[in-house]
Amino acid sequence: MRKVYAGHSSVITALGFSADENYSALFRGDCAITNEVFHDLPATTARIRNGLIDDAYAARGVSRNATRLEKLFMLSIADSLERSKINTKSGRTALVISTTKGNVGELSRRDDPESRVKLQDMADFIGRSFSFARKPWVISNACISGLSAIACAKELIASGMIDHAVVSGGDVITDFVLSGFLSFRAISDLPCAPFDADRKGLSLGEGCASIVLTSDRAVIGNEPLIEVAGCATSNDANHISGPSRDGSGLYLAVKKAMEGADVSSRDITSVSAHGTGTAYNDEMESKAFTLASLQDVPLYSLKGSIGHTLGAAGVIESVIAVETVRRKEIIASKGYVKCGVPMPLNVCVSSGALANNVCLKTASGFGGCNAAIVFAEADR
Amino acid sequence: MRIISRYASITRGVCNDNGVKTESAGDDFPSFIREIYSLRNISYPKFYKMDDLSKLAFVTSEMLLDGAGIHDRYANNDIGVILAAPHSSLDTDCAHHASITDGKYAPSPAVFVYTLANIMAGEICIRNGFTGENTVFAADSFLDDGIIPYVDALFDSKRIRACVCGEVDFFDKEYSARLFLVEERADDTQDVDSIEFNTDMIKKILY
Repeated sequence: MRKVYAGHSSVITALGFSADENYSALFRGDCAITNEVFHDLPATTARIRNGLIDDAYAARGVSRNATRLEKLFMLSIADSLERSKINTKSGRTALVISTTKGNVGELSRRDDPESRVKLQDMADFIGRSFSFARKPWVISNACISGLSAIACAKELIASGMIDHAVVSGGDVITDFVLSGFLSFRAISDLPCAPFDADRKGLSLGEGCASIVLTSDRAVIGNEPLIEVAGCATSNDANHISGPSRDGSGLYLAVKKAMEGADVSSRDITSVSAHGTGTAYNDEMESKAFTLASLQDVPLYSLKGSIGHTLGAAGVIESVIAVETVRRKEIIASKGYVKCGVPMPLNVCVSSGALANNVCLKTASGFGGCNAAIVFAEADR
Repeated sequence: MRIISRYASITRGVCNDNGVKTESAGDDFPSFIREIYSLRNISYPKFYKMDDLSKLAFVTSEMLLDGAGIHDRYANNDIGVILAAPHSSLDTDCAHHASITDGKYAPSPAVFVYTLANIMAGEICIRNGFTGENTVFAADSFLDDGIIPYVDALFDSKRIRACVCGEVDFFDKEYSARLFLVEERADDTQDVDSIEFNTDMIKKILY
Protein backbone atom coordinates (compact mmCIF):
# COMPACT_ATOMS: atom_id res chain seq x y z
CA MET A 1 0.00 0.00 0.00
CA ARG A 2 1.37 3.40 -0.99
CA LYS A 3 1.28 6.36 1.37
CA VAL A 4 -1.05 9.23 0.48
CA TYR A 5 -0.20 12.85 1.26
CA ALA A 6 -2.27 16.03 1.59
CA GLY A 7 -1.23 18.64 -0.95
CA HIS A 8 -2.35 22.14 -1.94
CA SER A 9 -5.79 23.22 -0.89
CA SER A 10 -8.32 25.96 -1.20
CA VAL A 11 -11.25 27.07 0.97
CA ILE A 12 -14.11 29.43 0.19
CA THR A 13 -16.58 30.30 2.94
CA ALA A 14 -18.33 33.41 4.23
CA LEU A 15 -15.02 34.15 5.97
CA GLY A 16 -12.90 34.39 2.83
CA PHE A 17 -11.80 33.12 -0.56
CA SER A 18 -8.59 31.24 0.16
CA ALA A 19 -7.32 28.61 2.59
CA ASP A 20 -4.99 31.19 4.21
CA GLU A 21 -7.71 33.80 4.62
CA ASN A 22 -10.03 31.24 6.17
CA TYR A 23 -7.36 29.82 8.44
CA SER A 24 -6.43 33.26 9.79
CA ALA A 25 -10.07 34.23 10.37
CA LEU A 26 -10.83 30.93 12.12
CA PHE A 27 -7.68 31.23 14.25
CA ARG A 28 -8.72 34.77 15.27
CA GLY A 29 -12.17 33.49 16.22
CA ASP A 30 -14.16 35.40 13.61
CA CYS A 31 -17.80 34.45 13.16
CA ALA A 32 -19.60 34.80 9.82
CA ILE A 33 -22.99 33.68 11.11
CA THR A 34 -25.82 36.23 11.01
CA ASN A 35 -29.52 36.24 11.86
CA GLU A 36 -32.25 36.14 9.28
CA VAL A 37 -35.96 35.46 9.09
CA PHE A 38 -37.28 32.90 6.64
CA HIS A 39 -41.06 32.50 6.26
CA ASP A 40 -41.51 34.20 9.65
CA LEU A 41 -39.10 31.77 11.28
CA PRO A 42 -35.87 32.95 12.92
CA ALA A 43 -32.75 31.32 11.49
CA THR A 44 -28.97 31.72 11.49
CA THR A 45 -26.83 31.38 8.38
CA ALA A 46 -23.33 32.14 7.14
CA ARG A 47 -23.86 33.23 3.54
CA ILE A 48 -21.22 34.23 0.99
CA ARG A 49 -22.11 37.56 -0.66
CA ASN A 50 -23.19 36.95 -4.24
CA GLY A 51 -21.19 39.90 -5.55
CA LEU A 52 -18.01 38.40 -4.16
CA ILE A 53 -18.55 35.12 -6.00
CA ASP A 54 -19.38 36.84 -9.29
CA ASP A 55 -16.40 39.22 -9.01
CA ALA A 56 -13.97 36.39 -8.28
CA TYR A 57 -15.43 34.31 -11.09
CA ALA A 58 -15.28 37.20 -13.56
CA ALA A 59 -11.68 37.94 -12.51
CA ARG A 60 -10.76 34.45 -13.67
CA GLY A 61 -11.86 35.45 -17.14
CA VAL A 62 -14.22 32.50 -17.44
CA SER A 63 -17.29 33.32 -19.43
CA ARG A 64 -19.17 30.02 -19.25
CA ASN A 65 -22.58 30.09 -17.71
CA ALA A 66 -22.41 28.38 -14.37
CA THR A 67 -24.64 28.14 -11.32
CA ARG A 68 -23.61 29.76 -8.05
CA LEU A 69 -22.38 26.43 -6.69
CA GLU A 70 -20.53 25.57 -9.89
CA LYS A 71 -18.72 28.91 -9.71
CA LEU A 72 -17.56 28.05 -6.20
CA PHE A 73 -16.34 24.64 -7.36
CA MET A 74 -14.48 26.14 -10.34
CA LEU A 75 -12.82 28.87 -8.24
CA SER A 76 -11.79 26.42 -5.55
CA ILE A 77 -10.49 23.71 -7.90
CA ALA A 78 -8.59 26.25 -10.01
CA ASP A 79 -6.95 27.63 -6.87
CA SER A 80 -5.79 24.24 -5.62
CA LEU A 81 -4.65 23.07 -9.07
CA GLU A 82 -2.69 26.21 -9.91
CA ARG A 83 -0.08 25.54 -7.27
CA SER A 84 0.02 21.76 -7.64
CA LYS A 85 1.32 21.19 -11.14
CA ILE A 86 -0.57 17.92 -11.53
CA ASN A 87 -1.80 16.90 -14.93
CA THR A 88 -5.60 16.65 -15.07
CA LYS A 89 -5.43 15.26 -18.61
CA SER A 90 -3.64 12.17 -17.34
CA GLY A 91 -5.65 9.07 -16.48
CA ARG A 92 -3.55 8.94 -13.30
CA THR A 93 -5.48 11.91 -11.84
CA ALA A 94 -9.08 11.81 -10.59
CA LEU A 95 -11.59 14.47 -9.61
CA VAL A 96 -13.77 13.50 -6.66
CA ILE A 97 -16.78 15.73 -5.97
CA SER A 98 -18.61 15.80 -2.66
CA THR A 99 -22.02 17.44 -2.39
CA THR A 100 -25.32 16.74 -0.69
CA LYS A 101 -27.63 18.79 -2.90
CA GLY A 102 -25.63 20.09 -5.87
CA ASN A 103 -27.74 22.36 -8.08
CA VAL A 104 -31.00 21.70 -6.21
CA GLY A 105 -31.63 25.46 -6.30
CA GLU A 106 -32.24 25.07 -10.04
CA LEU A 107 -35.10 22.56 -9.58
CA SER A 108 -37.69 24.99 -10.95
CA ARG A 109 -36.00 24.78 -14.35
CA ARG A 110 -35.05 21.10 -14.14
CA ASP A 111 -36.15 20.37 -17.73
CA ASP A 112 -33.43 22.73 -18.99
CA PRO A 113 -30.28 20.62 -19.56
CA GLU A 114 -28.22 23.60 -18.38
CA SER A 115 -29.74 23.26 -14.89
CA ARG A 116 -27.62 20.17 -14.20
CA VAL A 117 -29.73 19.13 -11.20
CA LYS A 118 -28.46 15.57 -11.60
CA LEU A 119 -25.30 15.47 -9.49
CA GLN A 120 -23.22 13.53 -12.03
CA ASP A 121 -24.16 16.08 -14.73
CA MET A 122 -22.84 18.90 -12.55
CA ALA A 123 -19.66 16.96 -11.80
CA ASP A 124 -19.11 16.16 -15.50
CA PHE A 125 -19.52 19.86 -16.34
CA ILE A 126 -16.92 20.84 -13.75
CA GLY A 127 -14.58 18.02 -14.79
CA ARG A 128 -14.74 19.11 -18.45
CA SER A 129 -13.85 22.68 -17.50
CA PHE A 130 -10.53 21.44 -16.18
CA SER A 131 -10.02 18.78 -18.89
CA PHE A 132 -10.01 15.88 -16.46
CA ALA A 133 -9.51 12.73 -18.53
CA ARG A 134 -11.42 10.53 -16.09
CA LYS A 135 -15.14 10.85 -15.44
CA PRO A 136 -15.45 12.57 -12.05
CA TRP A 137 -16.61 10.54 -9.06
CA VAL A 138 -19.47 12.07 -7.08
CA ILE A 139 -20.16 11.12 -3.51
CA SER A 140 -23.41 12.14 -1.87
CA ASN A 141 -23.47 10.71 1.60
CA ALA A 142 -25.21 13.38 3.67
CA CYS A 143 -22.98 15.30 6.08
CA ILE A 144 -20.07 12.85 5.86
CA SER A 145 -19.79 13.30 2.06
CA GLY A 146 -16.55 15.29 2.27
CA LEU A 147 -14.80 12.73 4.43
CA SER A 148 -16.19 9.88 2.29
CA ALA A 149 -14.72 11.56 -0.79
CA ILE A 150 -11.30 11.93 0.83
CA ALA A 151 -11.47 8.31 2.02
CA CYS A 152 -12.36 7.07 -1.46
CA ALA A 153 -9.55 9.04 -3.12
CA LYS A 154 -7.09 7.89 -0.47
CA GLU A 155 -7.91 4.20 -0.99
CA LEU A 156 -7.59 4.39 -4.77
CA ILE A 157 -4.28 6.26 -4.63
CA ALA A 158 -2.97 3.82 -2.01
CA SER A 159 -4.00 0.86 -4.16
CA GLY A 160 -2.10 2.29 -7.13
CA MET A 161 -5.10 2.81 -9.43
CA ILE A 162 -4.39 6.56 -9.59
CA ASP A 163 -1.54 8.79 -8.41
CA HIS A 164 -3.34 12.05 -7.63
CA ALA A 165 -6.85 13.22 -6.84
CA VAL A 166 -8.46 16.60 -6.47
CA VAL A 167 -11.16 16.20 -3.82
CA SER A 168 -13.63 19.06 -3.87
CA GLY A 169 -16.67 19.50 -1.63
CA GLY A 170 -19.34 22.14 -2.02
CA ASP A 171 -22.90 23.07 -1.07
CA VAL A 172 -24.82 26.35 -1.01
CA ILE A 173 -27.69 27.59 1.13
CA THR A 174 -30.97 27.29 -0.74
CA ASP A 175 -34.61 27.74 0.26
CA PHE A 176 -34.79 23.97 -0.25
CA VAL A 177 -32.26 23.16 2.46
CA LEU A 178 -33.18 26.00 4.83
CA SER A 179 -36.89 25.09 4.79
CA GLY A 180 -36.02 21.44 5.39
CA PHE A 181 -33.79 22.03 8.40
CA LEU A 182 -36.32 24.54 9.78
CA SER A 183 -39.06 21.90 9.47
CA PHE A 184 -36.86 19.66 11.61
CA ARG A 185 -36.59 22.51 14.16
CA ALA A 186 -32.84 21.97 13.93
CA ILE A 187 -31.84 25.60 13.28
CA SER A 188 -30.69 27.82 16.11
CA ASP A 189 -31.90 31.44 16.37
CA LEU A 190 -28.44 32.37 17.71
CA PRO A 191 -25.08 31.50 16.11
CA CYS A 192 -24.57 27.80 16.82
CA ALA A 193 -22.55 26.89 19.91
CA PRO A 194 -21.17 23.37 19.54
CA PHE A 195 -20.86 21.37 22.80
CA ASP A 196 -22.03 24.39 24.83
CA ALA A 197 -24.63 24.14 27.60
CA ASP A 198 -26.83 26.78 25.92
CA ARG A 199 -26.67 25.41 22.39
CA LYS A 200 -29.96 25.58 20.49
CA GLY A 201 -29.26 23.90 17.18
CA LEU A 202 -27.21 24.40 14.05
CA SER A 203 -26.48 27.37 11.81
CA LEU A 204 -26.41 26.72 8.08
CA GLY A 205 -23.32 27.65 6.14
CA GLU A 206 -22.15 27.42 2.57
CA GLY A 207 -18.82 27.04 0.86
CA CYS A 208 -16.45 24.93 -1.12
CA ALA A 209 -13.03 23.48 -0.46
CA SER A 210 -10.59 21.45 -2.50
CA ILE A 211 -7.54 19.46 -1.57
CA VAL A 212 -5.04 17.66 -3.73
CA LEU A 213 -4.13 14.17 -2.52
CA THR A 214 -1.10 12.47 -3.98
CA SER A 215 1.36 9.62 -3.61
CA ASP A 216 4.10 11.83 -5.04
CA ARG A 217 6.00 13.86 -2.45
CA ALA A 218 7.35 16.13 -5.17
CA VAL A 219 3.85 17.52 -5.79
CA ILE A 220 3.73 18.91 -2.24
CA GLY A 221 6.86 21.06 -2.59
CA ASN A 222 8.56 22.29 0.55
CA GLU A 223 5.53 22.20 2.83
CA PRO A 224 5.67 19.91 5.88
CA LEU A 225 4.44 16.52 4.74
CA ILE A 226 1.07 15.42 6.14
CA GLU A 227 -0.22 11.93 5.51
CA VAL A 228 -3.84 10.81 5.12
CA ALA A 229 -3.02 7.95 7.42
CA GLY A 230 -6.30 6.16 8.08
CA CYS A 231 -9.96 6.43 7.06
CA ALA A 232 -13.16 4.62 7.91
CA THR A 233 -16.92 5.01 7.68
CA SER A 234 -19.60 3.26 9.72
CA ASN A 235 -23.35 3.17 10.14
CA ASP A 236 -25.33 3.42 13.40
CA ALA A 237 -27.97 0.99 12.07
CA ASN A 238 -30.29 2.82 14.43
CA HIS A 239 -32.31 5.73 12.97
CA ILE A 240 -32.37 7.66 9.68
CA SER A 241 -32.61 11.17 11.14
CA GLY A 242 -31.25 10.89 14.68
CA PRO A 243 -27.75 9.92 15.80
CA SER A 244 -27.27 6.82 17.93
CA ARG A 245 -27.80 7.64 21.60
CA ASP A 246 -24.69 5.80 22.77
CA GLY A 247 -22.06 6.97 20.25
CA SER A 248 -21.18 3.39 19.32
CA GLY A 249 -21.45 3.98 15.55
CA LEU A 250 -19.04 6.93 15.47
CA TYR A 251 -16.76 5.10 17.91
CA LEU A 252 -16.53 2.23 15.43
CA ALA A 253 -15.40 4.55 12.61
CA VAL A 254 -12.86 6.26 14.92
CA LYS A 255 -11.48 2.90 16.06
CA LYS A 256 -11.12 1.61 12.49
CA ALA A 257 -9.51 4.85 11.25
CA MET A 258 -6.98 4.74 14.10
CA GLU A 259 -6.23 1.08 13.35
CA GLY A 260 -5.72 1.92 9.67
CA ALA A 261 -3.33 4.71 10.63
CA ASP A 262 -1.61 2.44 13.13
CA VAL A 263 -2.07 4.94 15.96
CA SER A 264 -3.73 4.66 19.37
CA SER A 265 -5.76 7.27 21.26
CA ARG A 266 -2.56 8.27 23.08
CA ASP A 267 -1.06 9.38 19.76
CA ILE A 268 -3.94 11.70 18.81
CA THR A 269 -3.00 15.31 19.56
CA SER A 270 -6.18 17.09 18.37
CA VAL A 271 -9.74 16.29 17.34
CA SER A 272 -11.64 18.28 14.71
CA ALA A 273 -15.16 17.21 15.64
CA HIS A 274 -18.38 17.38 13.63
CA GLY A 275 -19.95 19.54 16.40
CA THR A 276 -23.11 20.85 14.77
CA GLY A 277 -24.57 22.43 17.87
CA THR A 278 -27.70 20.28 17.94
CA ALA A 279 -28.50 18.66 21.27
CA TYR A 280 -28.34 15.06 20.11
CA ASN A 281 -25.34 15.24 17.78
CA ASP A 282 -23.01 16.85 20.29
CA GLU A 283 -24.21 14.51 23.05
CA MET A 284 -23.54 11.48 20.83
CA GLU A 285 -20.05 12.73 19.95
CA SER A 286 -19.14 13.22 23.61
CA LYS A 287 -19.99 9.55 24.22
CA ALA A 288 -18.13 8.30 21.15
CA PHE A 289 -14.94 10.24 21.98
CA THR A 290 -15.09 9.00 25.55
CA LEU A 291 -15.49 5.40 24.34
CA ALA A 292 -12.37 6.00 22.23
CA SER A 293 -10.47 7.42 25.28
CA LEU A 294 -10.16 10.80 23.52
CA GLN A 295 -12.01 12.87 26.14
CA ASP A 296 -8.86 14.70 27.24
CA VAL A 297 -7.54 15.49 23.77
CA PRO A 298 -7.96 19.16 22.67
CA LEU A 299 -11.08 19.26 20.48
CA TYR A 300 -12.89 21.89 18.43
CA SER A 301 -15.65 22.40 15.90
CA LEU A 302 -15.44 25.05 13.16
CA LYS A 303 -19.22 25.33 12.80
CA GLY A 304 -19.53 28.14 15.36
CA SER A 305 -17.63 30.32 12.85
CA ILE A 306 -18.86 29.21 9.43
CA GLY A 307 -21.97 27.17 10.15
CA HIS A 308 -22.71 23.70 8.84
CA THR A 309 -21.65 23.63 5.19
CA LEU A 310 -23.06 20.10 4.56
CA GLY A 311 -21.25 18.43 1.65
CA ALA A 312 -18.43 20.97 1.89
CA ALA A 313 -17.93 20.57 5.63
CA GLY A 314 -15.77 17.43 5.56
CA VAL A 315 -13.36 18.93 3.02
CA ILE A 316 -13.23 22.43 4.57
CA GLU A 317 -12.62 21.00 8.03
CA SER A 318 -10.01 18.53 6.72
CA VAL A 319 -8.08 21.31 4.96
CA ILE A 320 -8.01 23.32 8.19
CA ALA A 321 -7.14 20.21 10.27
CA VAL A 322 -4.17 19.48 7.98
CA GLU A 323 -3.09 23.10 8.29
CA THR A 324 -3.18 22.96 12.11
CA VAL A 325 -0.84 19.96 11.99
CA ARG A 326 1.48 21.77 9.54
CA ARG A 327 1.56 24.92 11.67
CA LYS A 328 1.61 23.10 15.03
CA GLU A 329 -1.45 24.98 16.24
CA ILE A 330 -5.02 24.45 17.37
CA ILE A 331 -8.12 26.54 16.77
CA ALA A 332 -10.59 27.58 19.47
CA SER A 333 -14.09 26.16 19.21
CA LYS A 334 -16.16 29.30 18.54
CA GLY A 335 -19.29 29.66 20.63
CA TYR A 336 -18.24 27.29 23.38
CA VAL A 337 -18.38 28.59 26.93
CA LYS A 338 -19.63 25.91 29.30
CA CYS A 339 -19.79 22.13 28.94
CA GLY A 340 -23.20 20.99 27.78
CA VAL A 341 -22.60 17.36 26.93
CA PRO A 342 -23.01 14.36 29.26
CA MET A 343 -19.40 13.20 28.90
CA PRO A 344 -17.04 16.17 29.41
CA LEU A 345 -14.63 16.88 26.55
CA ASN A 346 -11.51 19.02 26.39
CA VAL A 347 -13.08 21.68 24.14
CA CYS A 348 -10.47 24.22 23.06
CA VAL A 349 -11.27 27.79 24.18
CA SER A 350 -8.26 29.69 22.86
CA SER A 351 -6.35 29.32 19.60
CA GLY A 352 -2.62 28.89 19.95
CA ALA A 353 0.45 26.73 19.62
CA LEU A 354 0.16 22.97 20.19
CA ALA A 355 2.47 20.02 19.68
CA ASN A 356 -0.03 18.86 17.10
CA ASN A 357 1.15 16.00 14.90
CA VAL A 358 -1.80 13.61 14.66
CA CYS A 359 -5.30 15.00 14.12
CA LEU A 360 -8.52 13.01 14.09
CA LYS A 361 -11.31 14.47 11.92
CA THR A 362 -14.83 13.09 12.26
CA ALA A 363 -18.32 13.62 10.84
CA SER A 364 -21.77 12.11 11.25
CA GLY A 365 -24.94 12.53 9.25
CA PHE A 366 -28.49 11.62 8.35
CA GLY A 367 -28.88 8.00 7.38
CA GLY A 368 -26.88 7.06 10.50
CA CYS A 369 -23.53 7.47 8.75
CA ASN A 370 -20.25 8.31 10.48
CA ALA A 371 -16.74 8.90 9.16
CA ALA A 372 -13.29 9.36 10.68
CA ILE A 373 -9.94 10.26 9.15
CA VAL A 374 -6.52 10.45 10.79
CA PHE A 375 -4.17 13.13 9.39
CA ALA A 376 -0.62 12.62 10.65
CA GLU A 377 2.73 14.25 10.21
CA ALA A 378 4.68 11.96 7.86
CA ASP A 379 7.96 10.44 9.02
CA ARG A 380 7.14 11.44 12.61
CA MET B 1 -11.28 -14.88 -4.98
CA ARG B 2 -14.04 -12.30 -4.59
CA ILE B 3 -17.42 -13.57 -5.74
CA ILE B 4 -21.01 -12.48 -6.18
CA SER B 5 -22.77 -14.98 -3.95
CA ARG B 6 -26.33 -13.72 -4.55
CA TYR B 7 -28.11 -11.13 -6.63
CA ALA B 8 -31.55 -9.64 -7.03
CA SER B 9 -33.13 -6.95 -9.15
CA ILE B 10 -36.38 -5.11 -9.66
CA THR B 11 -36.87 -3.34 -12.95
CA ARG B 12 -40.13 -2.17 -14.50
CA GLY B 13 -42.60 -4.86 -13.43
CA VAL B 14 -40.00 -7.64 -13.29
CA CYS B 15 -38.35 -9.20 -10.23
CA ASN B 16 -35.22 -11.27 -10.61
CA ASP B 17 -34.42 -13.28 -7.50
CA ASN B 18 -31.05 -14.99 -8.08
CA GLY B 19 -31.94 -15.78 -11.68
CA VAL B 20 -35.60 -16.69 -11.10
CA LYS B 21 -37.75 -14.09 -12.82
CA THR B 22 -41.32 -13.19 -11.97
CA GLU B 23 -43.37 -10.60 -13.76
CA SER B 24 -46.15 -8.48 -12.44
CA ALA B 25 -48.97 -6.75 -14.26
CA GLY B 26 -48.91 -3.83 -11.86
CA ASP B 27 -47.32 -1.01 -13.75
CA ASP B 28 -47.66 1.77 -11.23
CA PHE B 29 -44.82 1.66 -8.76
CA PRO B 30 -46.68 2.09 -5.44
CA SER B 31 -48.98 -0.90 -6.01
CA PHE B 32 -46.23 -2.96 -7.64
CA ILE B 33 -43.82 -2.56 -4.73
CA ARG B 34 -46.60 -3.27 -2.19
CA GLU B 35 -47.44 -6.42 -4.14
CA ILE B 36 -43.87 -7.73 -3.87
CA TYR B 37 -43.75 -6.69 -0.20
CA SER B 38 -46.87 -8.82 0.48
CA LEU B 39 -45.90 -11.73 -1.75
CA ARG B 40 -42.61 -12.11 0.09
CA ASN B 41 -44.32 -11.93 3.48
CA ILE B 42 -42.16 -9.04 4.60
CA SER B 43 -43.33 -7.53 7.85
CA TYR B 44 -41.59 -4.23 8.54
CA PRO B 45 -43.85 -1.26 9.41
CA LYS B 46 -41.05 1.27 8.63
CA PHE B 47 -41.54 0.32 4.96
CA TYR B 48 -44.71 2.42 4.78
CA LYS B 49 -42.87 5.58 5.85
CA MET B 50 -40.15 5.26 3.20
CA ASP B 51 -40.00 7.25 -0.03
CA ASP B 52 -40.11 5.36 -3.32
CA LEU B 53 -36.32 5.16 -3.72
CA SER B 54 -35.89 3.64 -0.27
CA LYS B 55 -38.86 1.29 -0.76
CA LEU B 56 -37.25 0.03 -3.95
CA ALA B 57 -33.83 -0.40 -2.34
CA PHE B 58 -35.31 -1.99 0.77
CA VAL B 59 -37.49 -4.60 -0.98
CA THR B 60 -34.67 -5.54 -3.38
CA SER B 61 -32.32 -5.94 -0.41
CA GLU B 62 -34.88 -8.21 1.28
CA MET B 63 -34.89 -10.41 -1.83
CA LEU B 64 -31.10 -10.38 -1.83
CA LEU B 65 -30.56 -11.20 1.83
CA ASP B 66 -33.52 -13.45 2.69
CA GLY B 67 -32.01 -16.83 3.54
CA ALA B 68 -28.45 -15.63 2.83
CA GLY B 69 -27.41 -16.46 6.40
CA ILE B 70 -25.14 -13.45 6.34
CA HIS B 71 -25.22 -13.00 10.10
CA ASP B 72 -23.93 -16.56 10.58
CA ARG B 73 -20.78 -15.77 8.67
CA TYR B 74 -19.92 -12.13 9.41
CA ALA B 75 -19.93 -9.62 12.24
CA ASN B 76 -22.18 -6.61 11.57
CA ASN B 77 -19.25 -4.22 11.41
CA ASP B 78 -17.60 -6.30 8.67
CA ILE B 79 -20.57 -5.87 6.32
CA GLY B 80 -20.51 -2.84 4.01
CA VAL B 81 -23.15 -1.17 1.83
CA ILE B 82 -21.76 0.56 -1.28
CA LEU B 83 -24.35 1.84 -3.75
CA ALA B 84 -24.73 3.96 -6.84
CA ALA B 85 -27.76 6.24 -7.11
CA PRO B 86 -27.94 7.63 -10.66
CA HIS B 87 -30.64 10.21 -9.93
CA SER B 88 -29.72 10.50 -6.27
CA SER B 89 -32.85 11.57 -4.35
CA LEU B 90 -34.10 13.80 -7.17
CA ASP B 91 -37.61 12.31 -7.19
CA THR B 92 -38.21 13.16 -3.53
CA ASP B 93 -36.34 16.45 -4.00
CA CYS B 94 -39.15 17.41 -6.39
CA ALA B 95 -41.75 16.54 -3.72
CA HIS B 96 -40.04 18.73 -1.10
CA HIS B 97 -39.54 21.48 -3.68
CA ALA B 98 -43.26 21.39 -4.55
CA SER B 99 -44.14 21.83 -0.88
CA ILE B 100 -42.35 25.20 -0.71
CA THR B 101 -43.05 26.77 -4.13
CA ASP B 102 -45.94 28.37 -6.01
CA GLY B 103 -47.19 30.20 -2.95
CA LYS B 104 -47.12 27.14 -0.72
CA TYR B 105 -44.99 26.76 2.39
CA ALA B 106 -45.54 23.40 4.04
CA PRO B 107 -42.19 21.59 4.26
CA SER B 108 -42.41 18.22 5.98
CA PRO B 109 -39.53 16.65 7.90
CA ALA B 110 -40.86 13.21 6.88
CA VAL B 111 -40.27 14.14 3.23
CA PHE B 112 -37.13 16.24 3.72
CA VAL B 113 -35.19 13.44 5.43
CA TYR B 114 -35.45 11.39 2.22
CA THR B 115 -33.85 14.16 0.11
CA LEU B 116 -30.49 12.44 0.57
CA ALA B 117 -29.43 9.49 -1.57
CA ASN B 118 -27.72 7.65 1.28
CA ILE B 119 -30.89 7.30 3.36
CA MET B 120 -31.67 4.08 1.45
CA ALA B 121 -28.30 2.68 2.55
CA GLY B 122 -29.21 3.68 6.12
CA GLU B 123 -32.56 1.86 5.79
CA ILE B 124 -30.79 -1.35 4.68
CA CYS B 125 -28.31 -1.00 7.58
CA ILE B 126 -31.10 -0.43 10.13
CA ARG B 127 -33.13 -3.41 8.91
CA ASN B 128 -30.14 -5.76 8.99
CA GLY B 129 -28.00 -4.27 11.75
CA PHE B 130 -25.08 -3.63 9.37
CA THR B 131 -22.60 -1.15 10.86
CA GLY B 132 -19.70 -1.40 8.37
CA GLU B 133 -18.48 0.90 5.61
CA ASN B 134 -21.21 2.75 3.71
CA THR B 135 -20.88 5.05 0.73
CA VAL B 136 -23.31 6.24 -1.92
CA PHE B 137 -22.00 7.43 -5.28
CA ALA B 138 -24.30 9.62 -7.37
CA ALA B 139 -22.88 7.82 -10.41
CA ASP B 140 -24.79 6.99 -13.59
CA SER B 141 -24.04 3.31 -12.94
CA PHE B 142 -22.33 1.06 -10.40
CA LEU B 143 -20.05 0.10 -13.28
CA ASP B 144 -18.74 3.68 -13.56
CA ASP B 145 -15.06 4.42 -13.06
CA GLY B 146 -13.77 3.95 -9.53
CA ILE B 147 -16.61 2.20 -7.70
CA ILE B 148 -15.65 -1.48 -8.17
CA PRO B 149 -11.96 -0.68 -7.43
CA TYR B 150 -13.10 1.13 -4.26
CA VAL B 151 -15.03 -1.95 -3.09
CA ASP B 152 -11.96 -4.08 -3.89
CA ALA B 153 -9.73 -1.69 -1.93
CA LEU B 154 -12.04 -1.93 1.12
CA PHE B 155 -11.82 -5.75 0.96
CA ASP B 156 -8.03 -5.61 0.44
CA SER B 157 -7.56 -3.46 3.54
CA LYS B 158 -9.84 -5.86 5.53
CA ARG B 159 -12.24 -3.01 6.32
CA ILE B 160 -15.09 -5.17 5.00
CA ARG B 161 -15.52 -8.93 4.59
CA ALA B 162 -18.88 -8.84 2.82
CA CYS B 163 -20.62 -6.05 0.93
CA VAL B 164 -24.10 -5.26 -0.37
CA CYS B 165 -23.41 -3.58 -3.71
CA GLY B 166 -25.35 -2.27 -6.67
CA GLU B 167 -27.37 0.61 -8.00
CA VAL B 168 -30.83 1.88 -7.20
CA ASP B 169 -32.54 4.47 -9.35
CA PHE B 170 -35.92 6.13 -9.12
CA PHE B 171 -36.98 9.23 -11.01
CA ASP B 172 -40.22 10.39 -12.56
CA LYS B 173 -41.92 6.94 -12.49
CA GLU B 174 -38.90 5.19 -14.03
CA TYR B 175 -37.10 2.81 -11.70
CA SER B 176 -34.60 0.01 -11.44
CA ALA B 177 -32.68 -1.68 -8.65
CA ARG B 178 -29.83 -4.15 -9.11
CA LEU B 179 -28.18 -5.44 -5.96
CA PHE B 180 -25.67 -8.17 -5.28
CA LEU B 181 -23.74 -9.58 -2.36
CA VAL B 182 -19.96 -9.71 -2.63
CA GLU B 183 -18.01 -12.14 -0.46
CA GLU B 184 -14.52 -13.55 -0.27
CA ARG B 185 -14.03 -17.24 -1.12
CA ALA B 186 -10.89 -19.25 -0.46
CA ASP B 187 -8.97 -19.65 -3.72
CA ASP B 188 -9.01 -23.47 -3.45
CA THR B 189 -12.81 -23.57 -3.53
CA GLN B 190 -13.54 -25.21 -6.88
CA ASP B 191 -17.13 -24.10 -7.28
CA VAL B 192 -17.92 -24.06 -10.99
CA ASP B 193 -21.01 -21.94 -10.41
CA SER B 194 -19.29 -19.12 -8.60
CA ILE B 195 -19.63 -15.73 -10.22
CA GLU B 196 -16.50 -13.65 -10.02
CA PHE B 197 -16.89 -10.04 -8.83
CA ASN B 198 -16.01 -8.00 -11.91
CA THR B 199 -17.65 -5.71 -14.45
CA ASP B 200 -18.28 -8.40 -17.06
CA MET B 201 -20.04 -10.75 -14.66
CA ILE B 202 -22.18 -7.96 -13.19
CA LYS B 203 -23.24 -7.01 -16.70
CA LYS B 204 -24.05 -10.62 -17.51
CA ILE B 205 -26.28 -11.35 -14.54
CA LEU B 206 -27.95 -8.01 -13.91
CA TYR B 207 -28.08 -5.89 -17.07
